[in-house]
Amino acid sequence: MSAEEGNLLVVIVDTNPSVKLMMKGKNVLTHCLDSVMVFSNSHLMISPLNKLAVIACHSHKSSFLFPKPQNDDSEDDRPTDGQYELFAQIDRCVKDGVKQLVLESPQETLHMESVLAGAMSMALCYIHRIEREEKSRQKLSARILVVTASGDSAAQYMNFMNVFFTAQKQNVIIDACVLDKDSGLLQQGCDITGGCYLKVTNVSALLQYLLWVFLPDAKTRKQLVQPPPVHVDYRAACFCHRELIDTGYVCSVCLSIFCAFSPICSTCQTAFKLAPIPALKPRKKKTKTGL
Amino acid sequence: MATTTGNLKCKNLHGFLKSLLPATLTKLYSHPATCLAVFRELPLLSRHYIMRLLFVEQPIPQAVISSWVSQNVIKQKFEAVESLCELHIWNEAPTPGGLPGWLLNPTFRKNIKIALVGGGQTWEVCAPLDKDKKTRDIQFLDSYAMDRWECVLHFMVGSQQSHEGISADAVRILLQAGLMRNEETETNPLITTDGFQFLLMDTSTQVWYFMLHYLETVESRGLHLVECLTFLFQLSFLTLGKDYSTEGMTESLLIFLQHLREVGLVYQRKRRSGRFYPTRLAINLASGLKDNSLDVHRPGYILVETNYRVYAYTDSQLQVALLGLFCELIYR
Repeated sequence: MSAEEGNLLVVIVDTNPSVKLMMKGKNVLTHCLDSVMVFSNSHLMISPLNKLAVIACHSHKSSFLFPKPQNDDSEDDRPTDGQYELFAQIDRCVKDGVKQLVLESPQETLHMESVLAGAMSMALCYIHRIEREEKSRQKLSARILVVTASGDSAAQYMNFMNVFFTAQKQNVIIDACVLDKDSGLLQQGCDITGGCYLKVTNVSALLQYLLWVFLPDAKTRKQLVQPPPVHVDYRAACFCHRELIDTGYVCSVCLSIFCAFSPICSTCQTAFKLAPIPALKPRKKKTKTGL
Repeated sequence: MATTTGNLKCKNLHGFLKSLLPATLTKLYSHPATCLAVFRELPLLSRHYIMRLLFVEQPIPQAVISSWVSQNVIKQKFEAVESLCELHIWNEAPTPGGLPGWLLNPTFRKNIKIALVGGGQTWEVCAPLDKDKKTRDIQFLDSYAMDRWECVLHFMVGSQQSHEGISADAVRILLQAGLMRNEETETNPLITTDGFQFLLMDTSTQVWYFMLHYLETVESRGLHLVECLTFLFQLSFLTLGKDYSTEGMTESLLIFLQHLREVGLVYQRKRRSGRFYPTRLAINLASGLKDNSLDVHRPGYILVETNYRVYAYTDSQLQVALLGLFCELIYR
C-alpha cells in the first residue's frame, strides 16, 4: 500500500462543435462528456492519492473545467443523491464549464480547428506547477489524456511537436483516444512520450474503452494486456503550406521542411548557393530526404 | 496501513472485514460509502478488475478475466482474485455457455455505481441544514481534534491533567486493547509495553488502531456494528470544514457519535445542536491515506548525549510526559 504513488491525470476534452462526429447525432457530445466524467471520477476513485484536472478545448479557446479558480466557490450546495460529494462536485463543474463555453463561443467561426496544442500546453504548465508544489510531499507521475474527434490539424504542426518534446522531457505521458478520425500527429505524440493511442469507432462503448486502456497508470499497464500498438504515421508537415508530406526538402542548416524547393530558407534565411544546372542533380539528391 | 511495530500488530481494514460474516458484509455493501472504502482497500489489480466489470451486467468467464493480465505477474493476479473472493465482492457464477465465470456482487455493484455516477438516496448526514451561525473553520477543527486526541494520550502516559476529559468508555477500550492494564495498588490503570509502541505510532495509525478495538466492543454496548461501520465510512468521505446534519440518525448512532466526539473525530458544539463537523482525524480514516498535515514534524527538539543525558526543547505537555516514561526528569 505504501509503495503506491499518486497520479495526476489531465483530461483534455475536445468540445469543438464543428467536428463532423458531433453533427451525426444530438446526444453524441453529451454522451462523450458523460463517459469522460465517469472516467475522471473513476481515476479519483482508484486511489485517494490521485489528482485530476479537466480542460475543455474549443474552437476559440481552451479553459479549465476542473479545478475551478477559487473565487466563485461561494454557493453552498448539498448533494441531491447518493453520489460521493467530490464526484458530484466535479460533475457539476464540468457541466457548468461546458455550458459556459458553448454559450460564449462566437457564431461565425463554425468551421475552425480545435486549439488542441494550446490545451496541451496548458496541461503541461498545470502539471509543472503541481509537481513543484508537491515536490516535498510525494512523488507524482503525470499524464495527459486527449479525447478528440477532430482529426489532424497540420496548421498547428510546430506547436504540437513542441508540446510533445516538452512532455517527453518532463516525463509526462500523452495518451490519445480519438473518435471517428485518425490523427497522425497524436499518434506521433503518444509514440514519443510512451503513451497509448486508441481509435474508438463505436462511440457508445467509449467509457468501457477508457476504463480498459486509459485508467491504469503507466506502471499498472505493464501488468495488464493492452491493445497492440498502432502503426504510427510519421509524416511531417511542411513549413510553407502546412501540409503533411511523405517526401520533401529539408534545410541543411535548421532542418526546416518544405514541400517545394526554394533557394532561400524561410526559417533561417540561409541562401543555398547552387552550382549551374548540370551540377544540380547530385546536389538535389543530397537535399532530398525521405521522411 | 498494515503496520507491524514490534509485536503490536495493527490490522488493516481488509483483515478486519475478512473476519466478518458474508451476510454482514452484504449488509455493509448496501451503502455507497462502505463500498467506496472497501474498494480502496483492495489490491490495485482488483480495483481494475472491478472497474472493468462494473458496467458489464453478466457473468464473465474466468478464463477471459485472467487473460486481461499479462503472464509475468501471476502472483499479484492470484492475490487480486483471492481478495475479491474473500470479501464476497464477486462470486462464482456460470456463464450462459456453461463456463465458470465471475459475477460482481449485485449489492456492491449497485452501490459503487451510485457513489461513482450518482442516483439513489442521499446520504443521511447530507440532509439539508440551514446555515450555521457560528461556522467553524478548518484550523479550529484541527486544533480541536488534536486537543481531544492528546487527551487520550495524556491519560495513557498518566500526566496530571488527564483525570478530566476522558470517559470510562474510552478507558475500557484502552484496557481491552491491551494498551493499559489495571494494577491493584494503583487507582488508575497503567500503560503496558504495547501501549508504549502505540504512543510511538503516527496519529492516523493510532486513531485507526483505537477505532478497530472500539468496533470490536461495539456489539457488547448494544450498538449495531454495521450501522456504526457505515457511519464511520461515511465520515471518512465527507468534506473537511463543512457541517452535516444529525437529523436522520438513530438513537444508537447518536451514542456512537458522542463517542467519536469524545476522541475528537467529530466536533459538535452542543450535544443537541443537530449538526456536526467531521475533523481531519475522521476524514480519510478508512481510505488508507496517511494525511500527515496533523503530525507536524518538529525536527531537532530532542538531543541525546553519549553520557545518557537527554535534552528536549518542547512546550507540549504530552511530549514531556512521554519522555518522563523513558527518562528520569531532572530539570524542567
